Amino acid sequence: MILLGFLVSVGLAVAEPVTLTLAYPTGDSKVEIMKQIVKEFEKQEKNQVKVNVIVVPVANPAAYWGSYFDKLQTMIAGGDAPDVVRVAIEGIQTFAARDLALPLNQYQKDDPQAVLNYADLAPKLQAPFEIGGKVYGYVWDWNNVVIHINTDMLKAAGLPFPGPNWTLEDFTKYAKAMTKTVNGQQVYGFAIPNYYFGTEGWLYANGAGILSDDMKKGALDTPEAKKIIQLFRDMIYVDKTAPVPNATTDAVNLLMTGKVAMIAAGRWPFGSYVANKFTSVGVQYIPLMKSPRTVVFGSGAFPVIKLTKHPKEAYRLSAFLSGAYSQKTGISIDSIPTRTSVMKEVLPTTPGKNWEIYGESAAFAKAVQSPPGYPEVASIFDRYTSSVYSNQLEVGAAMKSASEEITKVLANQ
Amino acid sequence: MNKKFSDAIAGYLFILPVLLLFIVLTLGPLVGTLLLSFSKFSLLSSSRWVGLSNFFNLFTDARMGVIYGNTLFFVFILVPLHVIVGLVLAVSVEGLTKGSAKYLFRTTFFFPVLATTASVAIAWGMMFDTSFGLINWFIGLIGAKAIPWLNSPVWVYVAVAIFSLWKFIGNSFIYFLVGLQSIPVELYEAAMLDGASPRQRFFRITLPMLSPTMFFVVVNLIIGAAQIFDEPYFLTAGGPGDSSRTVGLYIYETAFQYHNYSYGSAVALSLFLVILLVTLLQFKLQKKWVFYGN
Repeated sequence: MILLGFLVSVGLAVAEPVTLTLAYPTGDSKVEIMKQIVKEFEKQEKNQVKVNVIVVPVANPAAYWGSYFDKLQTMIAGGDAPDVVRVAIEGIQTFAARDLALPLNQYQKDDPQAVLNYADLAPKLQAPFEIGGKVYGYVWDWNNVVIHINTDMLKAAGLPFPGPNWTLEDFTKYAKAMTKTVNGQQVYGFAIPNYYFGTEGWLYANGAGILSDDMKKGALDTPEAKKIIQLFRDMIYVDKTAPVPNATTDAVNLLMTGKVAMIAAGRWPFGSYVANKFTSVGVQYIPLMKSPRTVVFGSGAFPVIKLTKHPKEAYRLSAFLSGAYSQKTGISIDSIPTRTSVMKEVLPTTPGKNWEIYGESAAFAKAVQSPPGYPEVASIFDRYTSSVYSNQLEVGAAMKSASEEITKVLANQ
Repeated sequence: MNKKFSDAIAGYLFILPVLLLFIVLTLGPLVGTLLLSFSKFSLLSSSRWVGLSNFFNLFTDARMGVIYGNTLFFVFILVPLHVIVGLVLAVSVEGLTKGSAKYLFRTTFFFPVLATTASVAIAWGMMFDTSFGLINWFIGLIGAKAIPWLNSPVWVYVAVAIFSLWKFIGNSFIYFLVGLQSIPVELYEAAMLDGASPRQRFFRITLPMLSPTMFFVVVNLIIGAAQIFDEPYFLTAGGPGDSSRTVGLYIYETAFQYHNYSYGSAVALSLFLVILLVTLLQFKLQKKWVFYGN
């Protein structure tokens, strides 16, 4: 007793383990795997750091990240801020703009070993988490948008698998060739990507974007952007090579069931492909419209919340979660690891033709435009494109109105 | 302490739990909404009083007219539809002589109410799909053109109405059924002795005796339809464009997706006032048509 009293008085007593909280959105199938990964971190910290994984319920898949951030903000405002949070590219700008995330530069300088082999993180993918020279996290996973092709339908149409430099003319030719009636059922060449990320992939390929480069204005009314939206509209109503999309359209399911021959998506459909034992699929870049090629990407990391009481430990957790063990364990089939070394190991397991383009595109990928106010911008985009794809508005007028509304929203952020 | 006073204390203690629940769950949020609508509120930074600014924005919001128009249109479609179909189903089921058939139909009509809207909306969304939906497949069999159920500003109302009817008809059906069962049989027996036809019995006995239930159902349906959210949220996301966006959906998007809680509260308050006025009007008018048997 006397000895213990002495030890305490001189500060040599065994310290209580630090407990960190890691917020992760529900609905993401990786929650259980995250718990496994943090156990490894605890082991590495010799059990002096404990991590509680908090599953944040997100009820609305349509506004997934928006709903998640709403809950996170409520937790922070309620004095129950997590230490480390799972954040995708759509949210990091908002976190940084609202001064919620802790810059990690100094911690990285003091303890560089925590981020094992920083150069292994693909630089372009890491870039969105470095804002104004401040590092807000280490990128963990990413996804892009490429064309998924049902190879059985391709074969039935007598077409070869397209090359990486296929043109827009080739693409429309393929779409027409694979549009037909099979057993009395209409099948289509392509399912329009009627969502922000998917459309931005096409706009980037044509040298356009939903926003201006500085993300201060809407840019859907540029001739390059309008060309893509017009292409999609014409595929539905002129060529009739694409079905009319709506809010409940499940393009992945349509591809697997042979109702459409091509869709635009990242690596995420492979989770469904594997679950349904669907292997007749190959991936190719969006047709080359402008050189050099640009591929859209979205990525995610684990920033540290500024209010944390344990910044050093939280930094180490954030860094650990971007490490090779975490990526190998947590990223299997539905997204892409961000470490070049892990990509080489994981991507060959992709059960689809031409999977190599997932890794290749990291070199010329461009981040999806996700400014503060992203949910409202995405909602304006959805509203006007749905009017065009339902043949209610003409492309030029719709894109002009959409751009004006987006510009107004961005000005208020 | 005299007896009158102690009785009053006892009375207040008895209603205290309900009073507390009312304050916490109803009055509190209402006052909160009111305060929010007069401020610029942020979860993470200091809020400030902005007076009527949010209400000014509401009246100058170019989309508000369309969104209120959609909501009003849904009220006009859904209320008569639920009343008529619910009543027809209830009268039909009540008229069944076999107990087991009655039980079966009662359960069948009410079952969709118990199903989770999100899950059944996915199935209905697939059925309504213009290109691959089951409904258009059947329509195609008779040689008719595919209907753009979820892609037309006109047909989208029909799609939402069909889904709403299937999903929620059980509510008005069950109220009418209970109302029918509470009508004294003697009234029908006397009418039959007097030679009244089934049509006369329905219009002279059933409808008047059912009028209190009808009033309750109509009031609830109008409130529910004015707040319609589930159907457009899960089926159409308010689209195409703003075609099926309702005030309820707009409040949700503004407050919980764009984090503009203050403006969302102002819109919510405007809807509350509209519903309050319509409900008060109904209570005033019910004196002219609701028969309470006295």
